[in-house]
Amino acid sequence: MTDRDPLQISEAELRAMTKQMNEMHAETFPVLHESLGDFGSSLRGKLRTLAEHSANRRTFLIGSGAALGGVLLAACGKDDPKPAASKSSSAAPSSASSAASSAASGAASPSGSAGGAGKDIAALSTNASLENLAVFAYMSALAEAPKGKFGKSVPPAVAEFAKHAMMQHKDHAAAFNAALKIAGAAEFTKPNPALADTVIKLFGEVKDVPGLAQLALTLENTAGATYVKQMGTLTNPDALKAVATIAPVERQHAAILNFVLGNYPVPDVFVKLDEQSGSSASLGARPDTDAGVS
Amino acid sequence: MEHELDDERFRALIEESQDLNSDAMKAANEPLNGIVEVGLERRAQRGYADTVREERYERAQAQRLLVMAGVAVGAAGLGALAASPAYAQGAAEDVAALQTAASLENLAVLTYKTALTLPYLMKEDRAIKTVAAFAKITMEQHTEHGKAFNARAVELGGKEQTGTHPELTPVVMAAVPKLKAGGPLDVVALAITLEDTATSTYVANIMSAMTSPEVRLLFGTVAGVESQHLSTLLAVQALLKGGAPELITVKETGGATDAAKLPGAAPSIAIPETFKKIDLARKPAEGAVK
Repeated sequence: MTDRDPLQISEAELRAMTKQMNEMHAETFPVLHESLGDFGSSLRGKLRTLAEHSANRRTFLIGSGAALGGVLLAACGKDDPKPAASKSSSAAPSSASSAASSAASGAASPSGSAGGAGKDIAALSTNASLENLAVFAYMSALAEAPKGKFGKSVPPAVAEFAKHAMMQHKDHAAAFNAALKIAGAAEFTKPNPALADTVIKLFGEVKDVPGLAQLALTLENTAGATYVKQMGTLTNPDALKAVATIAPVERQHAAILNFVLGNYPVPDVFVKLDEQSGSSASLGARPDTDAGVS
Repeated sequence: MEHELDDERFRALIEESQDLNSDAMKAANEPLNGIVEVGLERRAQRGYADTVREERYERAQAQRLLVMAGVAVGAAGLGALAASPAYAQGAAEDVAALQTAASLENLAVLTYKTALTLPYLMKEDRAIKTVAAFAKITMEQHTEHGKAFNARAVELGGKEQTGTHPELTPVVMAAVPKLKAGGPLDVVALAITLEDTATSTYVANIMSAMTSPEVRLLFGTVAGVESQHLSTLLAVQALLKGGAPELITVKETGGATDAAKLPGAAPSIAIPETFKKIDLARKPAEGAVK
């Protein structure tokens, strides 16, 4: 130990490292965003190919509306949280949303690849919903902390972690939604509908920092498990890029939360996909249909 | 002399880790059983071993069909079944990637094993005990990862990779004198490089269209653990550099860290990338069995 205040020293050094980290963050995000843009184009290409190769007039009409519908859907922007499948139910049969949702459901798909594209869209919607749920949870925690919900004070490291993780989850959600939007599907801007009530209930029961960290750990492990499972099911290489580069980050969030909780930070030899408790707390890998896009 | 980590709670943790390791293949098979949603629903209710047996059967059937087609329609028929060589090519690429992954795991095991012989990692203070415990448990986890990669390589018709990564091994060996003359930060820095390399390589393999869903899933279940090793090491490095080694502790090595004293930026330092970069990824076939 030195005579100097160790934490003062560490804060100074760590601030410098944080600056470097934020620069890396700013540098990395556009690259991934661009990559996901390619992913969206790839999915649209699949849908277009589906239409072009079909001799069926109805399928042709659906396909011919793809470009226009894609624009219409994109114009819906963030204000409309309805998934592509929901939107198609109220749209004309020849709209692009219909093309997207038909492919998503596989109902009008003559090939496995278009069905795969639909599954990828459903999975991406679920992923965006999980990210939104995490943002919601961290945002709520940051809002409630000053009111004393978690005790007299929240350690600076916990507060900073919450801000940092929330920022990264926002970027993850934006990345998944960018892919959906470019693919002609609707962005998914709501928290995961299958888990929202459960998480709201759990959040209401949290009374201290460890309880908050445990809830966050559960959400991080759930997202990580979901994305890892999708590595075996997604069909589009660019969709794989998204989950491959995001899943390790969610797992890192979990490691640091475990450390803050006093637990061993790497409790599992392999990522677990099922529901777990304790330091591996997880609601389990979520199905692709969790967001309601099928 | 082997470092004695005789804390009762730590022993419990080691035992727990060993239990986990003894169940490692089971744990690996569970997620592998989950990859049934892309045209594999019929396998959903079966065990991983059944899936593998089915794959072998289908492969054998394809070969028989190829022979039959050759007899029936001659060379033209063989040309029509060109997908089979493509399948073989894909499997060969998967085997090479798995062998390379095993070589990285073997190198990590060797590195942690070497680190655990260093005198400065045998001290009794809590931070060092925690770092040594991490090295020991992480070494065990890498051992199981190596076994899992090799098991899959063998299932796909390849050989086990028992050697260390040919390109990186000289780099690690060259670093050993520095480790001996240095301190914990040198070990941590080297481990960070190895963990980042492994994570990046597996993420790159998942991103590649060349690997089968089963292999991608295996890489995913391991990459998610290597990334946690990386994050933990980054946190340890930050705390060592920041002069706060007393905060490097977990319940099992003498007590939970004092979260109230953790520097505000420490958790963020441990998770520097919003999307995992793959700059350090090694080529998929670099560590293949020759």
